[in-house]
Amino acid sequence: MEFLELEAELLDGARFKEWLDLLARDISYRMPVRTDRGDGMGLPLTEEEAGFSGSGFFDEDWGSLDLRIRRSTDSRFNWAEQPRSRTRRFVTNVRVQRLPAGELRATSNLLLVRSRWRDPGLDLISAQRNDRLRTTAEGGLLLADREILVDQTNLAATDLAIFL
Amino acid sequence: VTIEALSGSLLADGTDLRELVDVERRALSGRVFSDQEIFDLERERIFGRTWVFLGLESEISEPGDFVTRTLGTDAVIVARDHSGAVNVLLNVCAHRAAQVCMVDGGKADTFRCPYHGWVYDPAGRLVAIPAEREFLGDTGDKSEFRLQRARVATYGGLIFATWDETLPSFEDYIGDFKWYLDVAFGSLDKPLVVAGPPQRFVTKANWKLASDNFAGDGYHAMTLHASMGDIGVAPGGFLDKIAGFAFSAAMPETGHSITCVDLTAFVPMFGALELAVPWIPPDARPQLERNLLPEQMRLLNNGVFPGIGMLFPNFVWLGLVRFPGTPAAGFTVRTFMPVAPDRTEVWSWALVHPDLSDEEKRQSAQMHTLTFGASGIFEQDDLAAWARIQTSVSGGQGRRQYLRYPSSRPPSPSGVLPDGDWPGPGDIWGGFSTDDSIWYWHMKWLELMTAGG
Repeated sequence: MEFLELEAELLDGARFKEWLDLLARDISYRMPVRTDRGDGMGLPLTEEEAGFSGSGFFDEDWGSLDLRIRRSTDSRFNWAEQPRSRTRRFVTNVRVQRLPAGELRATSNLLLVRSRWRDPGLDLISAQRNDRLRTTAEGGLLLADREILVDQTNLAATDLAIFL
Repeated sequence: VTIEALSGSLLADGTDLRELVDVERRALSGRVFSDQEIFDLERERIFGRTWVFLGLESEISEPGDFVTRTLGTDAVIVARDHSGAVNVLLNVCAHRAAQVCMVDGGKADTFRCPYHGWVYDPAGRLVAIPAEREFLGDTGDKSEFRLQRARVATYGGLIFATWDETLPSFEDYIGDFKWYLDVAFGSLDKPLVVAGPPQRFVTKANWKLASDNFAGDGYHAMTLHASMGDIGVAPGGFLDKIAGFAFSAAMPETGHSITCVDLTAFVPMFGALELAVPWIPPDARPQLERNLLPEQMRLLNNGVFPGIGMLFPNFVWLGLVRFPGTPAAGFTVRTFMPVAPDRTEVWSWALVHPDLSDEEKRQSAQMHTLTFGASGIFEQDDLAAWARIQTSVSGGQGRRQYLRYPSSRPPSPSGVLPDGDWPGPGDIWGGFSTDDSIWYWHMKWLELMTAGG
């Protein structure tokens, strides 16, 4: 829980390099495309969760997350975030479960509110996050795996120049 | 005044559409991108009179597979029936117009409307209704009802459709541009397939702002995408050079265009075909010789990347070069569907070669996610630029300002390649990227918008 709060604080504060330090070097960070599937007669078919194909809004490793972050830290031309949007992350319904080898499974609800410059409209993104956290030798936690299950199949967001 | 009452190019306030397009100065009034009436006309005159891209055959590979899409501003079902044919059906019940299907896709032998229970097959035929005899009477005939079915064309695994019965065939519609479409989609024994469902998101810009970017705007890369140099993805002024070594081929009759880039000067360690078609795995490259003409091969053997294609009005293909620090080369097709004058639904698919391993397919799809789509480190900036323009053209004075597409120099195919003339059709601009081919796109738009009411 504290980990998720710290993480939200870092991302809301645009402290991206510090956020990156919370991620395991072998992290997999995914946000699949969601779809509703059915049989035509009203019966829903299950979403094919298994065998994630990389068809998503994010399918990242540590290196690609670092690349994305360096657009803010190493360049004056990160136009998508000029001016930088203000974000507020609300993390609730946190459930934690112990896994073998000192790992934790954490599921949480995320409501991300994003405001840009003087646009009175807000981007709202709600999602469930399924995380796997790893305990470090020093007793800290690292995020080793994150799956972001966004609620919209047709995303109402000008762009996703942010992290969830 | 209703749209139906308008003749030709006159808008309700008496403005002639032709006044909003200054052909002499190559300028378009901002109003073209923000006006509700023009948007409504486009629904009929652009999306009612063109072949519109809806998806890929690999999304519905088996009989009974279907996806739901938008054709212009209409919801449609794209379904493969038991004969193997692809059907595009208006998702509107023939009885009282309820949406028949409300999922993104799946597998269906039949579609049942929830309102009164009318049941259709994947070809749109009404196959059953509850209490048929009681409801229609002894003389009633349910065969007079069906889901409206559009004309469908498939090409290289791509699915297009139109409601217009008088529109020329897809072959005629693509015209000379087939030469380039074949390079991108007809060069392999098996077409590229989807890596998974498309990204779908709604961005805050007119659909034409997104489309015209892909009709030959190489010029924007050096500024809008400058961060790619700063983070080492496109090093050494690569994006400046892309603008300097671009070729645009634009079709004056049809408005289609392709932007190619000569990459040989920048990444000399790769062979010509590796540069030209990096998304095609080496094992499959011998197929190119079999399926393409010698002149098409000459283009590729010059290391020319046929990477940015625009089939009027809104179908785009984009090859993704493998830059340092990125997972693999990739390929994407996309479309920009109008929602409102200031809202556009972006659909973006990652395509992969079917013979790649699952891991290789995923890496190629990762390249799409990393660079294009809502979170793409290139496309994020494009989306931001288009939204800024949309704000401008929505202002009272801003909508009166004209967006400019200055002409540069006369087109010429002569000597633009190291080994001679440009081998393909169309008007050719080699050298620094210019706005000329984008203007062809807008001229096609004007032609359709003013061709009768």
